[in-house]
Order: sequence, then structure tokens, then C-alpha cells
Amino acid sequence: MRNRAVSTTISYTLTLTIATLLVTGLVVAGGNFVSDRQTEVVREELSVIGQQVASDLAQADRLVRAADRSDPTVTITRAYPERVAGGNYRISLDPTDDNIVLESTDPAVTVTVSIVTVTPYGDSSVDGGRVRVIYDDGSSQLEVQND
Amino acid sequence: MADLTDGDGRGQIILIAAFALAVTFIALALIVNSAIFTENLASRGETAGGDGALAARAMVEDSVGTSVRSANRYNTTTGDRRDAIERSTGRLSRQIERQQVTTGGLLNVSTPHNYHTGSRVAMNDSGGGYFTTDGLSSGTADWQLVSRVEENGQPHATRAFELDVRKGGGILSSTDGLAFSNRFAVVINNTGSPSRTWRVALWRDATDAEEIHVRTELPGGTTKECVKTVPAEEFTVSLTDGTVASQPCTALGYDQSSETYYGYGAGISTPYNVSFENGDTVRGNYSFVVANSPDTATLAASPGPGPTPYMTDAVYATDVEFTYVNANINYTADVRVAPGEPDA
Repeated sequence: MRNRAVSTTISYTLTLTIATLLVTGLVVAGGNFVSDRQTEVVREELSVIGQQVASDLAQADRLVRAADRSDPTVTITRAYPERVAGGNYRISLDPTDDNIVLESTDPAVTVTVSIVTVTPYGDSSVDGGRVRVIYDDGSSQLEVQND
Repeated sequence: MADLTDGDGRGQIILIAAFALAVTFIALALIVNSAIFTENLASRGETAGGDGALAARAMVEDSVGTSVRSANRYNTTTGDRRDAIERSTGRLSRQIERQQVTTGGLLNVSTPHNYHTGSRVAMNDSGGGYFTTDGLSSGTADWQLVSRVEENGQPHATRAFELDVRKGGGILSSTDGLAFSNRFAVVINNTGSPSRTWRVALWRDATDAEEIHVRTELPGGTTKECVKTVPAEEFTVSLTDGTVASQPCTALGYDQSSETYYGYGAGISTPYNVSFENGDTVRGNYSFVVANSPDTATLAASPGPGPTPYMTDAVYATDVEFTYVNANINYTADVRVAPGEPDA
């Protein structure tokens, strides 16, 4: 009679274990899925923002070249998202490789967009948000600044 | 041992799991939201409006160019010409400012400055004259208009070289027994050594009165001809724009098949002379503006009564400062205005 009710306990323990395993698996898989999607979305968004910044640079380049004397004032201000999928990011111009480099911190994603302009652009870097592309007539090059 | 019969304590794991999944779904919703916003951002056009700035700049250059043309044509003194250009530029600025302000922008054109004075050679007569020394058919037909034309610090020596030609009683067709050398031609030859000559001849077709022939001869002797159908009785040949009745003509421009430039003064260095040959075979008006004060032995110093070729001082080029501001763009640039300059 002392062995009675043991099967109920074992059954309960087994149920608990299996349920825990299933639930943990579900949560881990769900977490990974969300994390993968986040990285993918951040990469896409950085790439789109990079293309837009490249278009601003190209536009500023066209405006500088349309001026017949050497010291035009060109400022293009655009509002980009402050964060991408919840994380901060930074936009940098890399004139040596003709690239715009966008880096997000969480998750860490780096995207480069290449752009070649006739008016050179200088080594400069800004946070996401309102971004200004300006022509610096002192150094005769394009730069990005935070507004 | 747990009380398996106590209903209140059961289902904690399911509850925790449901909570964790709920958090995951919320995170997923935020990420999907971000993805949708990315698509939105990607599908936006050129929102900063740089194309508007460039269109406005082109419009300003064109409008001030028209003022410069008119001022050169209708005013004889330097002061009058500048006053006329400044008045019309002021009006232009006020008008486009008003138009632009309705769209939330600002556009301004400054008073013209940095004038470059050159000379304008022209014949203006309501009835049109022959392209001879005195505008009459009896005048000297082969003659030099000006000599020593040069850039004088500008990118080009001549701009807006236009011949307004009339067909009736005007350019003779080749059925009139004229050899090629007897057709009307504009000739440019450099004054330095070795002497080189660029020539463009103009005539009407022997059989089809609507066809106009233009043939260019380069200094090396290479020729290029274009034929344009021009139904109108009066038409304009622009040597510097390379057009006949507003249609592009390869004999006055770049020929891609031979990769040769045949346009105005190709292969001729400055200073050069401008002459007409067989001016008694063509009738109409003409004008061109040069960047310096060339020498002339034939042109009058001011427009006279009737068809008299003359040369006066003229504005060759001027600058205006152009400002375009909207919510995204702040653009200020100097715009050089020299209407009809080649490759402008």
C-alpha cells in the first residue's frame, strides 16, 4: 500500500518537465526569430537611410555644380528616424573609399552605401535624426552635420 | 507534496509561457512597424526639392538672359542698358517671390552685378536687308564685319550669333546657276599665322523650296552638310546654338559618327575675323555679341534708318545672386547670364 499514489507523482513530474521543455523551446525559438527579424529590419532600414543620405549628397553636389562662382551656400536638411528598430545609429562619410557607413549599436549592424560625387565630401559623422548636408566653402567640400 | 487537487495553484508554467510569448509578439509588432516605416521611407521621392531649386535657377538664367538681349537691342548707352536689366530683374524677383511664397518657399534674385561689356553687331530692319555693307543689294557682298574678336576673359568670344532669314526674295536656290562658292557664307578666319578658315554656307534647295541646306567647312577642308525642312517664310539660323529654325543641325554641332565638332568657329583660335561672302544672295536681319571691342572698317557706330549694319557696346555677360529657400533647402548661388553662349 506504501507504493500507492507514486504513479500520480511521476505523472505530474513528467507533465511538468515536458511542459517546461516545450515552453522553453517555444520562448527561445520565438526570441531568436524576433532577434533575427530585428537585425534584418535594422539592416534594411540603415540601407534605405544610407541611400537617402547618398541622394542628399548627390543633390547638394548638383546644386554646387550649378553655381557659376565658387562660393555657393548649400544646405539640405532632412528628418530621418532617430532610432532604427529601437536602437541608435550613426551616419559617417568615408571619402577615402567613396562610402557612406551606417552603424547601429544594438543590434550591431554596419551597412555601407557607395556614392561618388564631383564635389568631394569630407570625413564627417552624425547621429540619426535631423541631418544636414552642407557645402563648406572654406574647404570646398560637402559635409554632414546634426541639425 | 503539492496538493494536486488545489485548482488555484495549477497552470503557472502556461501562464509564464503565455506572458513571455506576449512580450515576444509585442517586440515582433514593433519590428514589423519599423519594417513598414522603412518601406515608406524607401518609397518617398526626392522630398528635399533640389529639382525645384535647379528648375528655378534655370528659369532665372533664362529670364535675366531675355532682359540682357532686350536691353542690348533697345538701348544705346551703357547706363540705359544696365537700368533696363536692373528694372526687369527687379520685377522678375518680385513676381517669382510672390509665386513661391504660396508654396511656403522663398526665392530671390539680386540686382545684376559683375557686368562684362562687349560689343553687339547687328542689322535690324523691319523689312530686312541684304547681308551687304549697306544692307542694300547694291552693297559690297564680300566684306569683313569685324576683326580681332577675342574672349577678353570670358569663356567664349562670340555668343548669340543669329541670322533671321527670309525666303521670299531672300536666299537664292541652287537653280539660279550659282556655284557653291557663290552661295551666302559666314566666314571666320584667325588673324594669326597660320591662317585658318571656318566657313558655313546657307542656301535653299533647287527643287524643294522648303528645304534649307547648311554646309560647314572646317579649316582642314572637311565638310558636313545638313538639310532641314522649314515651311515658314522666315526662320532663324543660330550659329552658336547649332540650330536651323530651332531644329538641331549636325553641320553646326558635334557629329557623333565622325566624332568631329563642326560648330561655330571650330578649329579657329582667337583673335579672329568675321566676314560675309555673297551677302547679296540673302535677306533678313542678323546679330551677334562679342566679348571685346573688335575693329571694324565697315559698320556704323549706331543704328541708322533702314537696313544699316552697325556695332554698339553691349552687355556680354552679367551675374545675379540667386537664393532659393524652402523647408529643406537653403541655396544661394551666383548665376552667370550670357544668353546664347555656346555650351552654356
